[in-house]
Amino acid sequence: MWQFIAIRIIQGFFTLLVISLLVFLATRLTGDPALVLLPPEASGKADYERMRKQLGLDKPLAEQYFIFLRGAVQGDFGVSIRDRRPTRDLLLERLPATLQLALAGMALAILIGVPLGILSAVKRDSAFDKVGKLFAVLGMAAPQFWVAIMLILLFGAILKVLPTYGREGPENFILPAFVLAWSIMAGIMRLGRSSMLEVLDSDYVRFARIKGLPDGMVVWKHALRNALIPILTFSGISLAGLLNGAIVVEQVFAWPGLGRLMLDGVLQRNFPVVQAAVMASASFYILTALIVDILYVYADPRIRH
Amino acid sequence: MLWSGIAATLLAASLACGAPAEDAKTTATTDTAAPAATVVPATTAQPTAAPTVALTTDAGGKVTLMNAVWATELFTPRDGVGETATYGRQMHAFWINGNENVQMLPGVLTEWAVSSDGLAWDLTVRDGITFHNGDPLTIDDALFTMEFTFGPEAVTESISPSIQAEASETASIAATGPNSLRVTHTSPKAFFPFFISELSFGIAGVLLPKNYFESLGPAGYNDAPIGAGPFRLEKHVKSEQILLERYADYFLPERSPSFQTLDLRLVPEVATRVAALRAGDADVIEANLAVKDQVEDGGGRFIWAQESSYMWILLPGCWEVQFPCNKKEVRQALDYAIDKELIVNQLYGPEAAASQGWNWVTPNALGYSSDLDPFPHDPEKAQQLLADTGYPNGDGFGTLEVHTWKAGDVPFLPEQAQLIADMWRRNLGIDVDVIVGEAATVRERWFDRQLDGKVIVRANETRWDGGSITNAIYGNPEGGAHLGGRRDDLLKVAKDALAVVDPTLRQQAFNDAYKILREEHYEFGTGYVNLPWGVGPRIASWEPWPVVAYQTAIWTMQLN
Repeated sequence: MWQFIAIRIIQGFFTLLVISLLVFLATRLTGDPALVLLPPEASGKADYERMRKQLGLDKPLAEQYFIFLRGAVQGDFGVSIRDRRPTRDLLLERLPATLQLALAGMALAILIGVPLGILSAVKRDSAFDKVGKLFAVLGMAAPQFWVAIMLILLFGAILKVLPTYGREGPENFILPAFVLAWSIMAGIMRLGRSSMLEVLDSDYVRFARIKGLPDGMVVWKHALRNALIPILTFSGISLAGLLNGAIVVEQVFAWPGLGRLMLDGVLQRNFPVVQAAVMASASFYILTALIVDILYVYADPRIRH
Repeated sequence: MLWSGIAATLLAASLACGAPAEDAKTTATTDTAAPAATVVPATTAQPTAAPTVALTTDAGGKVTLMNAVWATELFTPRDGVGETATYGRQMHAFWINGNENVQMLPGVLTEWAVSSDGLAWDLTVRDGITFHNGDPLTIDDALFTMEFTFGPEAVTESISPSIQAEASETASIAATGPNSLRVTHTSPKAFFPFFISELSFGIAGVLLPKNYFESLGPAGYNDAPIGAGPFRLEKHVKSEQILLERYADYFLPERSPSFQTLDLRLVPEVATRVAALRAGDADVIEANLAVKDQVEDGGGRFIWAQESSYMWILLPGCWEVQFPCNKKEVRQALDYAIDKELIVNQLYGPEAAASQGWNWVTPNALGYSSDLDPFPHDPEKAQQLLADTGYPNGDGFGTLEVHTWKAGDVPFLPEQAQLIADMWRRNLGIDVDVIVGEAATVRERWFDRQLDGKVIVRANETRWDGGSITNAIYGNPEGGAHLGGRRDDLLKVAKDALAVVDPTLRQQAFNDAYKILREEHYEFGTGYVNLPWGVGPRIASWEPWPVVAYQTAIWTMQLN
């Protein structure tokens, strides 16, 4: 088990190293921030050269990369081009908002998605099952931007029962968390349904029924645990995605999270911010995948062997 | 209650992450306005009398105002870009104030006068001003601020290229008396007062409290800033909220707001801002023409800030002989072929835009006169000019690329570019491709000279004093991506106008220069647009100023 974890951690470091090189090169391919930052009034060569020197872009590319890498190892991703603040501080400022929204969205997705999936499987081909499937399809197909705007208009502007923006109180979480959760909820529901159907058809469940165990006990105690294994994996990876920031939801609900930070960084050619945000994002993925793998082993003892 | 209960349950796990990321901190009259400065020796500006008794009553009430962009969220004068003015303008006192007629009026300075060679500005600081912590504003604060903003350190430490450029031409800053100082430049700076006024963009003209600032350092100050403006900062949640409370001891009581709290919110998506206005969650929103019906359907209305941006058609690189646009007649033909009135009326409407002025020289700007208005629509003349230069019916002209982007502050730029292209095809017979890109990319390609010989259709902020942009585009011998020193005759025209430092002569000097520069047609435009603010029913009235982007004159806002 420990060997497995150690190998995964080493793999994670190598993955991060490759990502660091890729993100470094990708940001340089998108253009020269010195040119972007100069106003129309200041496009002379002297202004340009001064700006490049200030940003450290006058150094050879390899040297820039090693400076970035050396800093990243120490948790220092440089300073934001836009406001000269350490990017680490910017990330830490935005992280709580993203964590709150991601966890609220994930909790909502699991609390609604899992029971719906299980009940759909148990009540296979019933009206409940059909409505559930429709809900899932809509959740996957409807664009987040459109759903978010429609919900804001309906519950905020027309019914006036929920706030349209901000994150002052618990009620502020409802709309953005739901929009964020819907597609994941739909995935969990469909995965839960198919997984549960498979488990319900298995021999040990049939045996439990033959033994005369009540249906509730068969489903919720014996079948559910095995049906949850693929949901666990899916939820883990989905959570990692949410932790990376939900650009659309954060933009629409004026939620100051990592997604908006990254979007602004890209639009402003703010290399240090984009690099830091991508590295943080990659780290979240790798860490979450590792945790999911470990939990997977505990959830399914067969994997240990 | 039900909603709160559900949300509270969902939040149980998320709250384990800690509290929200709150970083709470307590803590010239006509169309050619004449600035109040003078050439020495001369009469000086008339100061606005310092109040003997400051307003202390609690005005009550709260206004929630939503912006789309805040830029850096820093409060230090050398670290401002355009959008910094959205919040900085409310908290800080400016060296020089402005008014609705785009005049410069005494602010922290009671007088400002320039030497006859235009190099030195003598500034007199007002008595009786206090910062939000109660400390009086002294000559030490004034010197410190000027040094911080335009001293040698600012050349490398400022995040604003405009301030860097200004600082690099500042020779000295020194006290000349108990309440006066002198700023000396290496070349004449007639537009210096404008640059440090609240009519300008950004916050280059705001005052810092020396002792308070030094005790905290730049980062500490930006975490808990104070100023001497009409509002003091109550709370700042980065990228989310800037909560300001009325400052009872503000030194200009006639400019004290009529309400107690100004709640600034950063909401990037316009649809959300409109929904918030309709829901009553916001009182004033940064809007655009595309959402006018939605605002009005929801019980709101538009208030227009006049002449906020101009629509700019640039012909970069046309000083190079290999391009057809090297010939002035070709450039003029392109202008004659465009029906500017049609574009402005059909796309924007008379409330939102007007086909007047020449680029940044809008009707309220320094140097404007009606003979700077756009060329008339004259397809026959356009065809003739093109034929005379060897391109009859567009033959041999090649394909002209028009580059543009979707601008947040000026809607329909891509549509405008398409209409322009269509008029060029129809009236001149030339092939035109419209390429809608992303703002940063187009700007980058422009500055990198990749768009030479092509056309850029973009928007830009208006300004009363176009001295700095005239200097950058025509007066800089180095040129860069602009014409600069490629035409000695135009360089001289620009330099001659910029050398005029007597405020009473600048209107005419700039007007004369602009007429010549306009005739050359390295750039022209379709007109200017007004900035719409969506306001809700709680706002009885508000009179934002013209020619200044971002919210101005908050004290004129009256609540129902």
